[in-house]
Amino acid sequence: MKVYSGLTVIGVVVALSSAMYLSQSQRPHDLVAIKFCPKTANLPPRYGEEFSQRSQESLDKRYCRYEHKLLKEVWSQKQFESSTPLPESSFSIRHIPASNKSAIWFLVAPIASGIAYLSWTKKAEIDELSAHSELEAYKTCIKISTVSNQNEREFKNLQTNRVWDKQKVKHGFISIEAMQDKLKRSSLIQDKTHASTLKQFDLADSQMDKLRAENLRDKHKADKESQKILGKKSDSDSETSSNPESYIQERVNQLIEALKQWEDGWLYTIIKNNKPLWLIGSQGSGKTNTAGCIAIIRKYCFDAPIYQLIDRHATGENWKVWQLLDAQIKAESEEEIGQALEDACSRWLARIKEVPKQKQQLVIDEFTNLKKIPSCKESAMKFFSMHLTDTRKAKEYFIGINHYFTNESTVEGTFEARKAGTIQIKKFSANGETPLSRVQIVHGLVDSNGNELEEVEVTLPSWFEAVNIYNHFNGNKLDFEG
Amino acid sequence: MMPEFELGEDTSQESNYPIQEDTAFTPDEIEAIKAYKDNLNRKLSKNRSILKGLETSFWGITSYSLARFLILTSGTQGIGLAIASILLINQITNREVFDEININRKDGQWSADNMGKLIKFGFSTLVTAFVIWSALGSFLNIVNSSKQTYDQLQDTVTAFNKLPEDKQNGFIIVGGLLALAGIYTIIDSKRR
Repeated sequence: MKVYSGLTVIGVVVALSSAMYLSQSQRPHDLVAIKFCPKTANLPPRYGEEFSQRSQESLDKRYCRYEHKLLKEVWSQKQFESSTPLPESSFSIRHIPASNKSAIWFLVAPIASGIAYLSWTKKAEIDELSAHSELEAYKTCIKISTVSNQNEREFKNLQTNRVWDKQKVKHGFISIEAMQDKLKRSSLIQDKTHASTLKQFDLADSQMDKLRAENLRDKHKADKESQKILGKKSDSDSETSSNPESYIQERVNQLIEALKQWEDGWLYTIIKNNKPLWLIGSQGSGKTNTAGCIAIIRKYCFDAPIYQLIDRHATGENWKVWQLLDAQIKAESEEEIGQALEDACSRWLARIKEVPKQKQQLVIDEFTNLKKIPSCKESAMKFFSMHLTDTRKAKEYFIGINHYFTNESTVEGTFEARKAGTIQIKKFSANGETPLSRVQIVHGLVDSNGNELEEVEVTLPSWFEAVNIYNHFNGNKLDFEG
Repeated sequence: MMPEFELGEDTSQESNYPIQEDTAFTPDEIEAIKAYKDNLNRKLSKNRSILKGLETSFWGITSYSLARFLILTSGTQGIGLAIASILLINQITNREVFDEININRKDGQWSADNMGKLIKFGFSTLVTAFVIWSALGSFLNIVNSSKQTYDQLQDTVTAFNKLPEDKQNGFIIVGGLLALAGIYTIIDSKRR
């Protein structure tokens, strides 16, 4: 920036010196000095030599001693223009050339002045651009300085307090025990304040969750109503858009029919049953996919939207299936899961009291691991015990996914309740990657006489895929024969 | 949604950029920041003023130098061009003035907006006159005096070529006498 200031100064100096000094000269124009010196006519031999000389001297004295200076250009022009030009033979003409012609400096002056102007423009531009960053840097600097000084004041304050506390103790104004008690109480208040603040955050979170759930419920209601209205008004040829309700109903009927037809209808019986359903099996056995299928079928065929999805890997590898469910609330982190389990228990109680007409669903994955998480352990055990009885009464379909279903993986002392109150389906994989169609219903099925059936071997149809089922209700009709 | 257009008096437009809160500062800090900002603004205004001055001096130096250059290289033929160039530069420097001065007749009275610019134009025209005078004045004076000198020389030569006055008077007296003698002779011969 100093370069531009320097250039400006140099430019101005050069411009002024070029225009006012270097280009100036004493005699800037070509001149002519003219003397009128006529010759005498009194020449010998008519007149004597002496007389002739005197006549000439007289003429010179009268005319030739005066020199007239005028612009050469004007002299030439006048001589040219005049009809009777002055006889140059009678004149003594002396040319006086212009001294030191330096007109070129007059061209240097504007250039130097222009450079000065442009340099200052650049400087002004840089100043304008840097002004904001300069101001921000000043703000940062002043803030840092203030924070440092505040900390210093705080530190010195503490130091001084400590010195005076020591003095108080030394002179017996206060005992050490009283001082410690005071500190303890102060720390207790801080802890309480901290706990209270955390609760306030939790409260705000739960209120937001509630609001979100209500909004989603309203959205679904509104969608449903819109579909009803559009279904009545639209005259489109498209099957889906002309009457969505009847279209969905048709697809529902087709699917239910196919489910009823499949291997004596065991699949339909299980999906319709409102007992908690547990899918168990090793990795790669397709538990998540089957759970997704059942949830989607319950959503469309039994009008039960998925209210809550609890899975530590909800947005991970299982996302492809879970996204089809359009769950209203998802719990993924450990904190969210712990809270979701607590919420579910209280929600069931509330719904039991309300006796709701609307069914809804809860899907929970990887339950085995939840018990191992310290923050979720207690709520998971409570949740497991409660779900055995409360979900059915609260009209909430429950699908749980677990690797196995032992006391260790669930809750001790619930074996009988698990057997009586849940449906347990075991899935298999061939090599730990490819799911098999083989399924074992460990318990939960009863025969026509009401006898409990155990370890019933059945298979799943090939079209029983979450994506296929979802597409069946969203444009692509499922081929149940394939 | 259609934007709402207001056709009333209030046509001020608000910026559509959202406003963001700055970091919190203590009152002392705010005061210091304000003082710093004022200093920065002063510096920027000074820059702008100098720039304006440099622009004016640029045009002044350019018009003076151009006029002098034309006179030195082209002589009297460059006078018209030099004056034209100075006036042209004056127009360039006053371009805003010409555009922004409005003279209207309202309720039977003439009123002019931007009178300040009109005054500025007056001053710049005065400066132009000075530039013309300083660049061309001395030259015009020399041209004029040269013409007068030439005329004087011509008068001197004419006067020199004439007969001296006493000889001219002698010729007139002799001629007159001869004429009178001739007239007398003619009248006398007719009497006889």
